[in-house]
Amino acid sequence: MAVKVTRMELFRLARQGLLAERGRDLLSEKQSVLLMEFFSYAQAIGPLQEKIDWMFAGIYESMAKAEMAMGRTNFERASLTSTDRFGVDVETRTVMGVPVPRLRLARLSEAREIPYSLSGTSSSLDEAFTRLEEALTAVLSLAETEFVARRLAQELMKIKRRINALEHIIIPMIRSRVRFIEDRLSETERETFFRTKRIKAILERRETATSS
Amino acid sequence: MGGLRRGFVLTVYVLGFKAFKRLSGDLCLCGRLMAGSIAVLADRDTATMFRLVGIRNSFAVEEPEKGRELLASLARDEKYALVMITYALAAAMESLIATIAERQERPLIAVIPSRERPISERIAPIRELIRRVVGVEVKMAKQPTR
Repeated sequence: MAVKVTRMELFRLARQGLLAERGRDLLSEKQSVLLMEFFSYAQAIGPLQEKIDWMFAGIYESMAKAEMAMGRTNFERASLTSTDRFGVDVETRTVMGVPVPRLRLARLSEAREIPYSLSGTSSSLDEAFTRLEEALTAVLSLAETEFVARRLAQELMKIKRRINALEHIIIPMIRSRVRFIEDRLSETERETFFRTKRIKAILERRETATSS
Repeated sequence: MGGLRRGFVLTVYVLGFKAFKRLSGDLCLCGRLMAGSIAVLADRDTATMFRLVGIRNSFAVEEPEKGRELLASLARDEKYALVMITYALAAAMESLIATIAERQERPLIAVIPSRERPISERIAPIRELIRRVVGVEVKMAKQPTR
């Protein structure tokens, strides 16, 4: 590697080194904040899953009841005529600079209030129906939480890599260059000092030779 | 002028070059609303049930292999914002789910309980994430419910 041995270069490198160190410090601060955020999302997953389990158990149960009450053929026929009732609105937000979606359950406006024909459906179906909306909201927040946790994890890995690169490659490289230039500069300084001494001695000797 | 430039360089250090380039795009994207639809992958009975209660894109999947193909094609479709998969099916395609979740913004994938398998058993993916981030295995204390 060719390093210019000048005082200008030394200043430039020293400034670069300071910048790199400050970048590293900022990054590790960001890392610890992200880590906390990550854990808060990761911890939310377990309870959400339990809640969803519990909600879906209720739905499955009342659906089974409805199926029994209606008969299998009716049940399947009704399912063919149903319309889409739920949609999702996706909005983008950022968590610690990481873009993530925010999901919201949307009732589709064009859908009729009850998507199945009323004849031959049972009351258990209505029950399942009202429960589903709640359950879907919970599922959305679970999906979102999992997604955010995953993205934060990816971001954390990236930051870790970048900190490592700064810590173990860039900063040592800058430091070694600074040291190299400093050594060379002081070396030339010593040389110059010695040379002037030499010249002075020679001049003095010459002077005494001519005067005597 | 020098201070301004140094500030930018510092920002690039902290964010990384790609994120820095992406930043302007994100700022425009923030708050924009997009609509999407929901799809369900489930066994036949459950799919029928979901279709009945108002999610028309409920697909009945009997074999895991078909499920993987279907999930991949749903993931390519921009229309879907959320794909729900029953745990019984999801267990057979965890790696595909992880790949999609890591590479794409959309659709989000949610694993829902199937009739016989509750999802609170499914802790492996998040534990794996924690292991990768922290570098060691961390046991999450189970929080007391109520």
